[in-house]
Amino acid sequence: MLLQWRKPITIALTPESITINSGNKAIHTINVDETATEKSSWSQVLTELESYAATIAANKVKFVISNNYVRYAILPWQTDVFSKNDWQSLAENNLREHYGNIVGNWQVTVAMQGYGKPMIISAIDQLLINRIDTLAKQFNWTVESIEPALMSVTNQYRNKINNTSFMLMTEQQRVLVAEIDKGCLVGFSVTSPLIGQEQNESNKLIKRILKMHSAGSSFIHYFGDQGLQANSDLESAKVIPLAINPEGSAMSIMLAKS
Amino acid sequence: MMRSLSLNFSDHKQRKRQQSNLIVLVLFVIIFIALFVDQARIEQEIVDIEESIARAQGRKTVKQAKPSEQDFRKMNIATAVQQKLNFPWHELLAAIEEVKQQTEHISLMAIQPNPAKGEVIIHAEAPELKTMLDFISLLEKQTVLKDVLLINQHRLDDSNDHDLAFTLKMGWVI
Repeated sequence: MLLQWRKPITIALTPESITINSGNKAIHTINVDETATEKSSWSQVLTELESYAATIAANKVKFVISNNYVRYAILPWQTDVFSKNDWQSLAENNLREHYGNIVGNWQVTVAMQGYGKPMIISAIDQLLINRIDTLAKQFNWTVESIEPALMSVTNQYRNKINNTSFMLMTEQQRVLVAEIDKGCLVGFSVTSPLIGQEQNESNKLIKRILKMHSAGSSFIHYFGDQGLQANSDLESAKVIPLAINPEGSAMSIMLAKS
Repeated sequence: MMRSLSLNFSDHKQRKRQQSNLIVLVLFVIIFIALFVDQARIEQEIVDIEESIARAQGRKTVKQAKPSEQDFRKMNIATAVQQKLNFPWHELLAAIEEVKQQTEHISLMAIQPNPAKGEVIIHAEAPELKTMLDFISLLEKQTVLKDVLLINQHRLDDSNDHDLAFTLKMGWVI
């Protein structure tokens, strides 16, 4: 079949593991040596991928990047801004206000959600993108997309997600709550708990957000480990699982399937 | 339903290459359609010219419908039948009849003409060897036949009148 019409191979990168979903029944997962690296460092993950890359056939490839490696922000709509470049500059300034000059080393993208709706900003380390591009050139892959995990999950389950709700994505050492209002993402809350503290931290985060939005929705769409969801003690909220990862199974498998 | 998100970090050049592939494909489709339209225009022009010539000559023009696939099939069958009928059947049969009249004791058992190969096979019986040889020499004299060859012969044990059965193969001049 022509490369143009082939289904892309999905490679999900998380700090714990890499999963390669080539559309076949067998999904290949490579565990990453966690002791060798920090969660926010992607270098070890790409080194592991590089050692395995020769076995991946030349094809279209879609990368799904763990929330551990992505920064998110919301940019309010501004009526007097029209050009894409202006939105891009505003997005970079917005991130610079929060994170400082390190934003210069990041690749920033802006996604529109419709006229008058807030913009979504996401940023990934430029070196990570460059390293993926180098790998792609080296092994003759066509990179179809490099997507943050939030985008893959949202696009996969957008039919199931309530128009006014919250989406909780729990990974090891990274909890992300996205606030959804009238079908649009309007806010993000992120915490980086210690290993084993993810459940407590996600519960605390959700409770805090629910208190802040006492009149709002109490639907929480959950995407993450089974262990974390099973012990959830959120009484006032209805937790709706989007996809539950079986205990002991890698998060990257879920992302590669999404 | 939630809106889909578009936060793609992939290399823009690669996406542009994919877009250029799509543009080339669209261009090919447009060229194909243009050629098809042009062919239809030329056919119409031919019909118009034929009509104008016919009008100038004072003839009535009759629009001919395009032959269908079934018409083509019928035409092929008719051509095959025509070809078979065109073979010189009469000359062949007349030549054999003439030879038969001169050698009355020969009994013709079968005649197998093969127009595709241009040959005829004759199975016959003769009372003796000389009659058979006469029959062969008379066949060779016929203009529609050539290269008469005795393929086989054998003696008949259970027949009183005919002792010899034989098969001849000869060329058929078509």
